[in-house]
Amino acid sequence: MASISLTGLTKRFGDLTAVASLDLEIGDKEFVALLGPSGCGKTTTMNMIAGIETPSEGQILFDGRDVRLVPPNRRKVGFVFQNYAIFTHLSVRENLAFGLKVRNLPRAEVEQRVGAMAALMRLEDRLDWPTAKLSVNELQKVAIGRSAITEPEIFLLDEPLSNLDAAFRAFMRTELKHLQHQFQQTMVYVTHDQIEAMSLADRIAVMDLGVLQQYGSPIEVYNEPRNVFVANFMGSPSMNLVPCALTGGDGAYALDFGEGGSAPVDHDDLKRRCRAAREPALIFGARPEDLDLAPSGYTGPGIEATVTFVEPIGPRTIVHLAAGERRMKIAKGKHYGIELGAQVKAVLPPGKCHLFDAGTGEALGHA
Amino acid sequence: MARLELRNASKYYGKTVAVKDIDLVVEDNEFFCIFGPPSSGKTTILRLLLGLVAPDEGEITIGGAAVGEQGPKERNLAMVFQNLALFPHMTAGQNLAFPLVERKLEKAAITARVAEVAETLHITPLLDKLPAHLSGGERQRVAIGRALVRDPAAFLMDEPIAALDARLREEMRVELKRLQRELHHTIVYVTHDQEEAMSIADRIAVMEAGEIRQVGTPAEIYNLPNSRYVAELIGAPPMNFVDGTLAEGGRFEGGEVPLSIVLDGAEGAGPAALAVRPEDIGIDAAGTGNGVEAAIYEVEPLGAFTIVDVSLGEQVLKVQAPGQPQFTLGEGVRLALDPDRCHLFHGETGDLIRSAR
Repeated sequence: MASISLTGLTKRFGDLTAVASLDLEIGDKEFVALLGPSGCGKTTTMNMIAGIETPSEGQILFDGRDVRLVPPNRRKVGFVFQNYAIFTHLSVRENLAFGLKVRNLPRAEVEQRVGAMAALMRLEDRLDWPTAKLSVNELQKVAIGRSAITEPEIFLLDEPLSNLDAAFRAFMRTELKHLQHQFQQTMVYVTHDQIEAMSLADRIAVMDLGVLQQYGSPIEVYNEPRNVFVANFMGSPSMNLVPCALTGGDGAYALDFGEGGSAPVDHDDLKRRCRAAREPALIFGARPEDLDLAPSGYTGPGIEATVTFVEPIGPRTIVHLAAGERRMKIAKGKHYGIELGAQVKAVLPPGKCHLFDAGTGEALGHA
Repeated sequence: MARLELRNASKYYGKTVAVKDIDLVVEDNEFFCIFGPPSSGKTTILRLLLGLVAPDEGEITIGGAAVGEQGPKERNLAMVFQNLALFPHMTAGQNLAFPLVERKLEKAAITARVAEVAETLHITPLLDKLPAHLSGGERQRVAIGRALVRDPAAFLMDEPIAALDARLREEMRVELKRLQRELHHTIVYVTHDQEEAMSIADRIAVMEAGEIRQVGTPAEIYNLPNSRYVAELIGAPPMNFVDGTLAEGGRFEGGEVPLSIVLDGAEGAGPAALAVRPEDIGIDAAGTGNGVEAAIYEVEPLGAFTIVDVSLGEQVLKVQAPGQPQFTLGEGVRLALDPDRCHLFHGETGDLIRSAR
């Protein structure tokens, strides 16, 4: 059992506030990703959980117990860093066994657990290799295995996959998730990569400039971003965020996209969002995969634009559009053919439109 | 702008092969990517073109003329590096002007040229700022601008945007492509990022250990990889491979995986690997369709699509399903494999036996 509760957690370095009054509940056996750009406070938060940094203010509870006075080595947390910390003079077997030996476990048990971990990490045929001969990918497997083998109640990982090549990263993502489902540890995972956070975590804490922006399941954070920062940070290619002006009233709204034309608001979900607007200056949001190009003869609402660039990236084709200074992207399937310079209309997708206040960046009318 | 060519070019450092027998033509106005893992010879090709090193064998031509012993200055190629070397004590405008000042151009000509380039790159408002006051993307634009002012015969770019964050990289690659199209530049662009190469290039050369394995348009490289090596490197999530045996008549049997499929046109017999892209595998509910039975291993929701990891015998395959489908771990499903979407590679050499159709 190991739940983590952070209340009003703050860390200041001189004048700089690295983490500002963070409240976060991490459940037992939960996989939580701390996600954000560099400088958002994610690593500082993790270091405070580990006991490497002391909070300036606030509280950290493990299973309801305050751990302020518990030193790092007695917090029962396992650690994996981006720069794998392994003993280079020891073999893979000795590295894996290290954490168990210092705990004076019987030799037979150490051997059995090393064997099991090696099988899990697919390192069986490397056990007697000196670590100097391993590839970067294998080194990181040893680092993860070495920490996981002690079965800490809480497992903290700081960008553990960012030095690995793309294909191996995709493989390790799956394996880490599977490892957590098997060992049922509480995992806190720091990353700047939204794909990693989405694919691994039960819940994602999106951070920016030391402040928690949103905390929710990957799908919640993706489908219902609370503000422009989260909307823009999650997803690749990123959400279209198009400035517009709200016109009309009494339920008969329209969104004015300047050179992109004016689009009457004709579905209830979007009307509800318009109704929540306090100022006419808005940002319209739609994911590239939710926007579609109007078929010929379509007269419904949409944004008029010109095709400026077509980007084929494997399974998808990204069509870039411009309406004056406003830019949009639409994700289509493989082999999507369209002429550069074509005049098109992007249809506002029913039920999949977002609206944000242009001043505050806050989402309007979320359910 | 100029056509670039390497004929049979090789470069050795002692006994180490940096690049070997490189035959490469970059057409005038082409955006050409050199893609490969670290130390596969990508940067050596740029250094050969630039004249920083001389080939041990072979020949290099720029604009149709052999460059022989010409040094970097005479070749008039512009280089943009990952670590943009801007002068920190000079404004963006002074940085842009530097190559022209060095060439002792007249002041009026310099001012006019800097203004023109700044306009193209949308950095006119930044000209009076020092690099320290610019964002990463803005600094990158200034660095590109500084290469641009000289009006070089071609641009060589070595991972120019690799140090930027993901969102900015997405923007910059569109920006680079726009510039290239508007200004009709020849660009040779080195990257280890397959998505970047796919997105930006007219053609891509895939390198392995100093040699070119395949040259083609992004669609050719993605849809018709000529070897397992290329198939593994291109695409994210990566292609799935099932090792097994090919029998006469094009029947492939998985080794550790209960999978049997007939591939028309697959000739020969022996060890082989079946390869299929994650988006080319369909998932049906258990008991429907006539696909292979498998179980849900993990589910990775990515918003626009979901990576579903399924275990099939001893192996885990990745399936990319559109949208946000729901599955339960351990749930039984059926995988729909279309033989026309499958590639087959030789089990030992990795050479292509049969492409997707």
